[in-house]
Amino acid sequence: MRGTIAQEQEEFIQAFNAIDDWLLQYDFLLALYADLPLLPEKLRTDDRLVPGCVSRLWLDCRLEQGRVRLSLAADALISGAIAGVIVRLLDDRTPAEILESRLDVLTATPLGEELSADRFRGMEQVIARILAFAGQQISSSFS
Amino acid sequence: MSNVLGTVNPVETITAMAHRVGAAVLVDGAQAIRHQRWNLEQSEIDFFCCSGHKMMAPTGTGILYVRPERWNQMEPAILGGGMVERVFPEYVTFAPMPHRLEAGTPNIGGILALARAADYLEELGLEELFRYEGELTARLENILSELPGVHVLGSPEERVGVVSVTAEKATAADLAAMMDKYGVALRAGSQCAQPLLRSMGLSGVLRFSTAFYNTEAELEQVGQAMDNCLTHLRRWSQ
Repeated sequence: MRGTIAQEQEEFIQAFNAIDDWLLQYDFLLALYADLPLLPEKLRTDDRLVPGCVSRLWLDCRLEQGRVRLSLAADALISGAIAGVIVRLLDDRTPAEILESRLDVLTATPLGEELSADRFRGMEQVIARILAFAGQQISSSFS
Repeated sequence: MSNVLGTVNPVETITAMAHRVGAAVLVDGAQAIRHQRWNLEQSEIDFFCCSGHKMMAPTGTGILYVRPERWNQMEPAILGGGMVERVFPEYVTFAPMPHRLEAGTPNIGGILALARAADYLEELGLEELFRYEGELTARLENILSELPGVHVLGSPEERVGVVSVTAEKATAADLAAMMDKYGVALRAGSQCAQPLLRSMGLSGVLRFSTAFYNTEAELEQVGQAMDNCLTHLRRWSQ
C-alpha cells in the first residue's frame, strides 16, 4: 500500500540526504526522473508552461476518478528532475490530500540550494499550480 | 561590445553613420568599460553609460556621460532634492548639469567605491589587463571549441571578455548548475539579449567570462569540468 505524502517525502529526504556526493545525488535524482512518464510532446503547450522557470517546464494537471494526475516535461534535466520529485509525491492523490500536505522537500534537502533564485521561484510555481488545481476541484465539488 | 558574443563593434563608424542622419548615439558600455580605454572627450559619442559592478565597484552604481553639446537637451526624469534652482507654485528652474539629473540623496558610499575601483584598475595597469585578458579569452575559446558537441557562438574579428556556447544534448541551465559544483560561476539563459538569441534560433546559451584574476591553469580546469558535466548529462539525456 502506498504511503502518505508525508511518509513518502520523509523517505525521499532521508535517502537523498544519506548520499554524501553531489554527483551521486544528481544521479539519484536523474534516475528517478528517467522513470517518470513525461508529458507527451503534443501536450507541451503554452498554457501548460510554468512561469518563472529559467528553462521551459510544462505541467499538466487533470482529475481522473477523483484523483489528481500530474505529468511534466522540461527542457533542462535538473529542473525537470527536481520538479519530478514534487510530481512523484503529489501525483495520484486526492485534492484533499494535496491541500493538506506540507512540502519541505526543497528546504530539507540540498535541492533548494541547487536552484538559483529564478529556478527556486519556478519550483514554487510548480507547487502553487498543483495546489491551485486541487483547490479548484474542491471548490467545484461544492458548486 | 556584445555581452553574448564578445564582438567589438565599430562604435565610431556607427556613430558617424548615425550622425549623418541626425540621430544621437548612446553607447551601452557596461561590458566594454573593462576591456578597452575610452576617451569620450575625443569621441563623437553623444551618451555613454556603464555599470559599476562590471568594473569591481558595488552594485547600484554606474556612470552616465553626456557630451557637453547635449547638456541643454537633458530634462530630469526624477524630481527631488538638490536638482532644482528656484521653485515657485507655477514653475521650477533646474540646477545646472549634472546636478539636475541627480535628484535626492546620492549613493555616496557607492560612488566613492566606484571611484576607488576605477583607480584600482588603473593602478593594476589597464593596458596590461586588456592584453592578459585577451590571451585568456582566446585560450578559453580554444578549450571550449575542442570539446565534442560544443559550439562557440560567433566568430568576430575581435572577441573580448566573453565566450558563449551551446552544447548538444545538454542545456545551458543544466551545465551551469553542474559547473557551479566545480566552483565555476557561469551565466545560463538569454543573457538579457533575447532578440539576438532569437535571430540565431536559440533560447539560451552558456556564457563564460574571463578576468585578470583568472589563470590559464583555471581555464584547463574549466575545460575538464565541462567535459565531465557533458559526459554525465549526455548519459541521462539519452
